[in-house]
Amino acid sequence: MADNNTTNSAINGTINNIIQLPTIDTGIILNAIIILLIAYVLIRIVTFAITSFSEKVGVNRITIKLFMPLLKFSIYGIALYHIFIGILNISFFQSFVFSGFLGAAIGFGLQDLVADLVGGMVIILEKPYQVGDKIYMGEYYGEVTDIGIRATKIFTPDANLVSAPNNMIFTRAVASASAGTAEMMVVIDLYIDSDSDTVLAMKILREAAMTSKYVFVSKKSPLTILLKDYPFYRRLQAKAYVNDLRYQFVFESDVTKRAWDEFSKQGIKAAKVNILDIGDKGK
Amino acid sequence: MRKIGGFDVLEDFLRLVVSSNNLFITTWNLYSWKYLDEVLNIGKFFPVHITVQKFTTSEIKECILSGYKQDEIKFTEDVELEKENLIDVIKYPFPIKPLKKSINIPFFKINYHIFKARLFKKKVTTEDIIFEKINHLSKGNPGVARVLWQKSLEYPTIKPSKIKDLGINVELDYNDSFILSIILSMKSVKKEELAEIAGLEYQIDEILFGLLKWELISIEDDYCSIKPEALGSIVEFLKKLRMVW
Repeated sequence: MADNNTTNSAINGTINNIIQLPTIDTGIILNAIIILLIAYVLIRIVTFAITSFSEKVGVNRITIKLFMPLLKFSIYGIALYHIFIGILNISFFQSFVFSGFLGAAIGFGLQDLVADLVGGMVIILEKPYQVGDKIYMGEYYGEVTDIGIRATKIFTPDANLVSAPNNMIFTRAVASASAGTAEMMVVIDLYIDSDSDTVLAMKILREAAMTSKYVFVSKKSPLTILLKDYPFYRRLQAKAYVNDLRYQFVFESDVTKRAWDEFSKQGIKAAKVNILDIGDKGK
Repeated sequence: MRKIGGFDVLEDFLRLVVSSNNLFITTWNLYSWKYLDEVLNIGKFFPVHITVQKFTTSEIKECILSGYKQDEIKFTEDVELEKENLIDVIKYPFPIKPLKKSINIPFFKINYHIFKARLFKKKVTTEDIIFEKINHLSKGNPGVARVLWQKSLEYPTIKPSKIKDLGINVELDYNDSFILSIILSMKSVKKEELAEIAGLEYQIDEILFGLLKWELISIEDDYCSIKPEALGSIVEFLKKLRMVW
């Protein structure tokens, strides 16, 4: 019995030693704030430097920007480590236990924030998309300009900067059109009249795509022209890669315009609007 | 020509190649070939490909000096050479658009000829430095190397400081760059043909004026071509934009 009491008190003493946290005074709080501030400023500088440099190297910018989120998380990680170990003098095991308690406490009150943080880490490790990619995320589409601690910033084609919470990665499907490369497939549909010369139209569309100043063709990124017949018209579809995903829409416009200019020279007509006479059945 | 219907002549020629029993030997501009091979797969029409390899420094030296007698040219060491470092600090102008100003950001530039010499512990002569510089700027192209040589030579003397590195510190918009890539790929092209490629919405004269201003091209008898000394820089620049592959 006495042995049991001794063991229990020894265990309690050890636990108390482990979880005993230092007194937090104003100086410690101030130091922690300064470190977080330095980390924030450092991140801003690093982000600015990487963004500026990567924009100078042309299409290779995506590879360089790949390191941005990793650097951000690392800087914040080092800052937190320094606060816990360097300022609060918490041992590694204590900080481990403390972060568990803190995580549970925050989890109840700030579930979304924690989910965003975890989402950010998943994005960095799993790379469903990266900075520079064009993605569909929920109802948003655009270029990823930043992956932050809480949210992913997406620059939409109509110049809106959308902050999509990182936890969307768990609940919504994400489609990355470029997946870490600068080139991106663009699908261009043109509808022509069924009586028009389809072979000639396909040749024109192919040449409009392959002569565009925005095109990128390689063995891995081929140019494909497809034809589909509908009851009253035919659809020509060009699947071509744009050399830089930022030119997606101008590429589409360039190919469409030049193809239609040539169609009109060659007598290829646009699909007509047909009205079906279905007699009394329609009433 | 890079426009709709612009490949009809080439396609006729390729049909002739496959239907004829004759042997065809053709030469192609490297950048045209790469483009046409990707978009029209022309490589399959020519079973044997011979790529002219880049010249080495010693080959360029031999090629250039073959036109002179021994010791005819004097390689003179100038002040810059004595001071030449392994790493130089160069200033790169960085534009700040909102302020409409640019600030000079210092960058490190490695002098490859010095680096190579130090790596192999070779004694560097003025002659070596001159030909290393010419080879580096010409990217091993003997024609470009010869032009660089002629422009730098003050017969019978040549100095390392006279071989100018053009760099690619130019501001070209996308259309200018595209037209530049066409001139590069076609070697020599008529202004009217460039106008057809550019389309009606772009003024070819404005584009060519910009390219002339940056000393990237020359126009003779209405034919536009790349300035040989700018070749290396242009290729580097256009590769960044993926306009040449």
